[in-house]
Amino acid sequence: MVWKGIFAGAKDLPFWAFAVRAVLLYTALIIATRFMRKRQIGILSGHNYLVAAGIVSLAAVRMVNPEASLTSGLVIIFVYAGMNILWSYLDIKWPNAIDRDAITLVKNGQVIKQNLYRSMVTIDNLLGQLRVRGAANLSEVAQATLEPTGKISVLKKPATMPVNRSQMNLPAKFTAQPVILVYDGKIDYANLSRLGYTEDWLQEQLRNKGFTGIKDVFLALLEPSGQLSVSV
Amino acid sequence: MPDIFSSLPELSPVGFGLRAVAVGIILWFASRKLPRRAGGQFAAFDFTFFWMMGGLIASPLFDSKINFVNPITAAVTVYVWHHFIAYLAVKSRPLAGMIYGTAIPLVRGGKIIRQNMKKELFNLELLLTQLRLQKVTSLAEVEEATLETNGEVSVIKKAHLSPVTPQDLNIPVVSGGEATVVIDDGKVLVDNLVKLNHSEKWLQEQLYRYGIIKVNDVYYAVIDSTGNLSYSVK
Repeated sequence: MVWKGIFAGAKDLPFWAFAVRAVLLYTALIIATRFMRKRQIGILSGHNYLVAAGIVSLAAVRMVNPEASLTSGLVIIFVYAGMNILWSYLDIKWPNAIDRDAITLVKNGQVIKQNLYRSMVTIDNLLGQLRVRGAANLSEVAQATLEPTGKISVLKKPATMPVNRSQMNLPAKFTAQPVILVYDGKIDYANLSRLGYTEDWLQEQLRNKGFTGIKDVFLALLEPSGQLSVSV
Repeated sequence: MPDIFSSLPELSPVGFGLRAVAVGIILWFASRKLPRRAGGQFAAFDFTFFWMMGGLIASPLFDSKINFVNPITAAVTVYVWHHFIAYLAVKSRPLAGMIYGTAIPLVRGGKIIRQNMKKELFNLELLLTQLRLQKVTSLAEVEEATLETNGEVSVIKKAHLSPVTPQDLNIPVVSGGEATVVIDDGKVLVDNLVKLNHSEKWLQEQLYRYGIIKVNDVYYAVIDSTGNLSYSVK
């Protein structure tokens, strides 16, 4: 009887029924968010942000209202997530029809007044965002853009950016992500062989660093410079 | 079949599914009309709008008794009100200060301004957290720190600790700046090419030099401020 009430809704439910509902709705939200992909987590466009704010509150409201049906709640979460996925999919096909475009607020150190007014960003909001992004002076700014996400991106003029290697005529260096070779005492053989190294090589490297057994190593990363960084 | 758009004492899961589709269509319309700045949450008023709007749009899914007309009325009203306040703020700087709050100096000349920290209910731990997030290790590196209207802290490092720039070393800058997209998913953006005084034929010749015969094979191509073409194939 109680279980029927949990799913269909009832006048009154015991307290543990809400624990069951919480587990089911929360799990459903996790699954739905995985379907909506990373752009949902990053809240990258208008429909993403409305769904983010809406789907959470509707799940919470339905969770605690005993008369609301849990079945309906689960249906709603997946249909609403489905609509969100539909808009994201159409956004790939017709970017201009689904999401808004980016608006340039500053170009070559000049604030563009009409764009500031059009997007209703005040001058103090703009200067504050420039400060937060490390471009306190307008003369350093090559371009500031109000992105469709609502965030302001700032491109500094190259002459005001930190000096890079090519400007100092330094030779190029190999850059890449470090690769995990050992995690929690276990060798990642796939990574090791992909890089063309053997287990013996790794053992020797670790011995050189003073680690006798792989079991003692929590994490070993091979950095692009060739250095092995080890945590125990 | 009951009218799913009006207030109902009860609604089946299928009815709620249909409602979710209808709300999804309203969602698209609303997302097109949203004020951009709300997503950036530059001030408390954007933050409120952001979360309230999402809840309002989805509210016919909260309860079968909630119809479509009431939430839409509320959403439109909040939107108009947000627009009106934002308009006032963008027109008048003193009003903006009252509505959004102003940026509060927390550190000036390397010294923490204690009464401002108190006024903003900011403790030392919060300030240090914000400094660490800005890759500042110690207060000794900070010339100025400001609490912005969105709650973030901006930092200006002491001059002798800021990174060396090409300007400081009198090095001429050879790259960087804004880039222009010329191919998007295999399609040539002729308008952008014309802006840079290039023709489609020129682009084809350039790509040919890199061994690309068909423009359609290029996923994305840009020309940077120094005129360099870079591309990514499909």
